[in-house]
Amino acid sequence: MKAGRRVFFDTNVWVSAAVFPGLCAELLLTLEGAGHLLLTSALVRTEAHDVLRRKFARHAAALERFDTLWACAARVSDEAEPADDADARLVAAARAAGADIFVTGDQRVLGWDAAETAMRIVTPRGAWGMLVVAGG
Amino acid sequence: MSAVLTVRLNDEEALALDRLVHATGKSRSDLVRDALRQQALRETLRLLQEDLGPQARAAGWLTEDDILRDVS
Repeated sequence: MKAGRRVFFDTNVWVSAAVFPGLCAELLLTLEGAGHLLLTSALVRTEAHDVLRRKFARHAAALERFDTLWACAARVSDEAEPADDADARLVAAARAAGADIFVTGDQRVLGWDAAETAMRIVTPRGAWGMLVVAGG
Repeated sequence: MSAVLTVRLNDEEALALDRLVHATGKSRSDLVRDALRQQALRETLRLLQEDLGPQARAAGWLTEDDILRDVS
């Protein structure tokens, strides 16, 4: 396995991992344990907190535990533009931080993937195939 | 900040740890830190999921695919 791939999880992947056992949680654990570098930004935390507050009536402990979970990733700087598109800002932040892979379940963001670019945009299943099954 | 933690291992556990040192080339300390970090993540995930999973189902999220679709 090639060590040290830089992987940025979109907010929906973090929230999925926090709520249900499954692929996203396993991906997080497996990549962290295999020596890949997880990247994140303050905007991810803000968005995740917004979702947890909006969706769950009993969220106080969850916010604190989410921060503990989120702290396993290295923080990178957010991008200011485009101001009206948080998804695009996260992708830009990941790209600026030299991420190799951006993981998301958002179909619109997945549509921005291009094979010839340095950073691939893939689903959690795609990331599992690239980084765990293929060992890359 | 760093802290020193003394952990008592029985003979079997110490042998298993030394075998891992030999197999991986990592130090005992690195292996123990790796294990602690992974266990802390697992426990944090378990606590979050135990808390949020039932609330999510009650709110209409039944699987992680529902979250991946609904949260941008």
